Amino acid sequence: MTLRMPMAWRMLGREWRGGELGLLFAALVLGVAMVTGISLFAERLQKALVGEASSYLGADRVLQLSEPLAPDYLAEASRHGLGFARTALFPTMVYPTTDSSGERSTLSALKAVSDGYPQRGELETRDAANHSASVRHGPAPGNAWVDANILAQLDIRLGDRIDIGQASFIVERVLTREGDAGSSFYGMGARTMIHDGDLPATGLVMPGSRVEYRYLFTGERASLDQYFAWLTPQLGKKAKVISLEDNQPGIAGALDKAALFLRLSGSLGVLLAALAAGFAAQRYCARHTDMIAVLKTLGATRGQVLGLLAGQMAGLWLLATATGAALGYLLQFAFITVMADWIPAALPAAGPMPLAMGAATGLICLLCFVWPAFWRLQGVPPWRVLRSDTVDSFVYGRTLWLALPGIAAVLWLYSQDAKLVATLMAGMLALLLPAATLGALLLQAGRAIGTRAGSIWRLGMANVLRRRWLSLLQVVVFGTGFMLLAVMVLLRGSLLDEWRMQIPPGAPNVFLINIASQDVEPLRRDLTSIQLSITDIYPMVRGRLSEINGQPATELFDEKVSEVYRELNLSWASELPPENVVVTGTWPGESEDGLAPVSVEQGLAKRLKVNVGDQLVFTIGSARLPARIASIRSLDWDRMTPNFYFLFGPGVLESFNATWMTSVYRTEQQEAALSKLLRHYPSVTAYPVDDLIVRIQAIVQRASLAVEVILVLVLAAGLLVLLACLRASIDQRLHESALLRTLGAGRKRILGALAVEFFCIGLIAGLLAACGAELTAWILQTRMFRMEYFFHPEIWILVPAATTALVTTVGIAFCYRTVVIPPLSILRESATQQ
Amino acid sequence: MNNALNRAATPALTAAGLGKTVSTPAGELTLLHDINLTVAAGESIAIVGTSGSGKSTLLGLLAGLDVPSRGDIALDGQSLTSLDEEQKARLRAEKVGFVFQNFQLLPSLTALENVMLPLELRGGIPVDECQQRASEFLQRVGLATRLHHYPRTLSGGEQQRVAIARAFAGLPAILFADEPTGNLDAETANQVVELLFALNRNSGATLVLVTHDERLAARCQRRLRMEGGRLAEESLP
Repeated sequence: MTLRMPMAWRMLGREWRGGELGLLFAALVLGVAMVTGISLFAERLQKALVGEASSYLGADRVLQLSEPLAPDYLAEASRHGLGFARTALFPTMVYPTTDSSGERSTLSALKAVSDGYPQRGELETRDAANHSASVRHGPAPGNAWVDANILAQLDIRLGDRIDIGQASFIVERVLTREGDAGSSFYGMGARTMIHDGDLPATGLVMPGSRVEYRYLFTGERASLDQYFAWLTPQLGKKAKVISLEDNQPGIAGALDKAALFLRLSGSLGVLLAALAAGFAAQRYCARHTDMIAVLKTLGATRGQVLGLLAGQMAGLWLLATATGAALGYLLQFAFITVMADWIPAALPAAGPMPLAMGAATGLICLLCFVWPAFWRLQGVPPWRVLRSDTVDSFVYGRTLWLALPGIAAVLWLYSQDAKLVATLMAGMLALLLPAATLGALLLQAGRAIGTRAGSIWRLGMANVLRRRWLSLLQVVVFGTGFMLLAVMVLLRGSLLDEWRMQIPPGAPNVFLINIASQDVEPLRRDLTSIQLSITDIYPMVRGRLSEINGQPATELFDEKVSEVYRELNLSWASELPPENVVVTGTWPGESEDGLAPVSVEQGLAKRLKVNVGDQLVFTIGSARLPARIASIRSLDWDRMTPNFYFLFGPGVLESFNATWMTSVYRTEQQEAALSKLLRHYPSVTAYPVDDLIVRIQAIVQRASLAVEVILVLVLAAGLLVLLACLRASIDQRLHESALLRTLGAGRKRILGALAVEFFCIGLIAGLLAACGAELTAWILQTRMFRMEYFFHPEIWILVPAATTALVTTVGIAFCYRTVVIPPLSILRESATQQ
Repeated sequence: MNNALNRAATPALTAAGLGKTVSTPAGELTLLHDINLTVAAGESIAIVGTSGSGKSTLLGLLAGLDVPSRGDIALDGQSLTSLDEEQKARLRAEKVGFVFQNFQLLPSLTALENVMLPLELRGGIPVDECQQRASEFLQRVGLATRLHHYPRTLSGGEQQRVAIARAFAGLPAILFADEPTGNLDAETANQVVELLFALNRNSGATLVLVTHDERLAARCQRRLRMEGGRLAEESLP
């Protein structure tokens, strides 16, 4: 006697033809498509990046530090049976030996490699006879292997000689592929590779020089674990261990951020789609209350009704999953096309996970947003067929709170980020309470205004009041929906701004670093002589913040406050640098208590929770430098001038080994003159940032395009919510309008009343959305993306204006037919449905 | 023939001491008082009365759509009070047909699909057969050309004819009709009544009809009047 699946599916087909399922289906498909598409793209990208990681690493595990490792440590590595090699990396200028003028110089990322390099992977090279060869060793002493760009830039051929610092090298081969090339700041320049043993002869490495040493280890995993467990505690925080899992090439950081943002905006889209599905289900149920009563009258048991509904839901799920997955598959190509230049050419195929996630999303949406309404539907008593009282369409809306765990589940499934889920849920719950309160106030106000206002207003307010639960629900749902959209737009803006901050226009485009103390004055003179606008020259002493108010800094903060885990550039100046503003305290002057006065950057002071008067201890080499905070300083990070977290007054750091840095803005015409000048300062590294600027700009542009693809989908989901809400009440509206028109109400009056109703709902929803968006943006920006928080006055105007305009326009457009269809046909049709 | 004999032996419907009381903000309200009724198989009875007299409430109880506060009902010999909702639903599927004032067709289903519905709910009947039987009945009510029309494209009279086809397609032992002509104009109402009684004669089903239309009531074999929730038998004119 049970209703078999085919019957449920036949019913599904009939419902489909009857146009009852379109919106529900569309919402589900959109949700599934977004999850599948974004997950497919993200997973394939992730796989590609991890796949490339091992060859990028050139080893099984890497130890990175800013000074060479003591020989004892390496001897211990041999005892553990580990293979190892060393690379030393820093940017420097290279010159053709034949060019005495120094005009043909270029910046190169110099890499000195020891015997045994590379430990994993191979180098691809080309010799003078144009023969390619894959080799597992670096250049022999006296030889240099270079990137083809170096040959072009210096206008030399293989076999010619180049000068690096004070040493000269024969250019033996062209490096065509180097696995572990692009994984750091220095990786951006064209490569010159020499033998480790030649490094001292160049004279480029001095105490305090910024050299990145990498020790490449290979061996059994257990031996590696054992060795590193022994080694790392001894090195403390100055060493960084890189394993296969966490090595990602430089650009990957930007891509990662883009992927995170796609996921985030995707989850918002999915939420909106789920809400739309929930709303569509409300209408479906309201319209099917009588049908269930009729079915029961005709002899359908509760089990049969449940079976019928469950069967329909299963069918709907399968259809929506299949369609959504297909669309998601296409969607990922949109992302891949948009990001094509920045992602590996051949992405590995994705596993079944994204599809499973899409299917699970559809199922969760149905179970949490749709099934509760269906569940109530099966309880409809058969005697309803004899009573013509209309059902309150919101009766099913009361099950919507059951969707909260569903929302959390969808978000978690999708982002795998408990913190993100908690933040979004908190934002939504924070919106629900004021929404309910405001909604209640609106009802009160509506009553008061309604009695005094004109008839159109009264009619409109009466509409809001009559459907008070639906109105309240609409306010909350629109409010939530628009809040999510506003959060997304805000975050998108903030992220793009943050990316752009790295590239302000007209900023200095060459950094000069590694300037020896004795070269400071001559260099300053020479730069001025070629009319280069320079900022001040700053000394840099590498040091570590080791104690805060007597407590070890690393005990106070976890690794998220990375500033206490790495070496920082400490500097001094006799007066406050331009663009710096003392917020509290005074510029460091004379020491009063034997503690060196220091000025701390505002953002860092906030993160370290320190203020004027707090005591800090810096470790510089083996020396301890106790200090007291004299002032907190704000500065403009946007300007590409040297900026420092810690600035001392004069007379404190001078005794330590320092190198100096400055930044200049040089035009293309000045490029040759600068190169020639720097020939006289071999240790100085010119680090042009033009290329970096162009690259980052391009990535930001592409990434924002990808984000726009998703923004369109999220907007579509938002529109679905709006339409679903409107459809939920359209039958009642049609009926009411027909009655009013029968009683003589004009089209203008009815439309006016509709405008008042939608205006109120839109406005209140908009205010709520602005409130929730500001709150969520604050939480996300400060806690998740670690950006500085700004108040957003624009959203308090734009969001309510946009929601009011959108809700009113779409609402009236959607309900226009209530004044067009002849009243009789509406009354007749609604009679047949009662 | 056997079937007819059995039916004659067992009353199609009995109600004993039937009462319905509901709670209202003003206190308990008794809708039906101590109703006793027996309807023989194949008999046609009309329950008449003014609005609010309790006719529809009684119909709902007799058909097992609602639960009485007191008393018992036996449908085709089966006591309803001993049955749970599921069993009552099954009993309706097998033995009961309905015609409503508001037609109660499912708007998303075509005329044919609406008529197939009780057959499908009964289970065990192949879809082809359901379809065939449903179209036969639609033919009998004169809607052979409207099989695939949705209710909204049919006139009131046509919709009620679909509802009648649906009621008889399941070959019910007992048919309940609640103001079947209430929403129709006089001429259409006459046609629908003719059809209803003609089909009822052919099927031999028991007919329980609630109406305030005296002329319609007069076509039944017995007439009962509801007044203030009490039932009184009226002699036929």
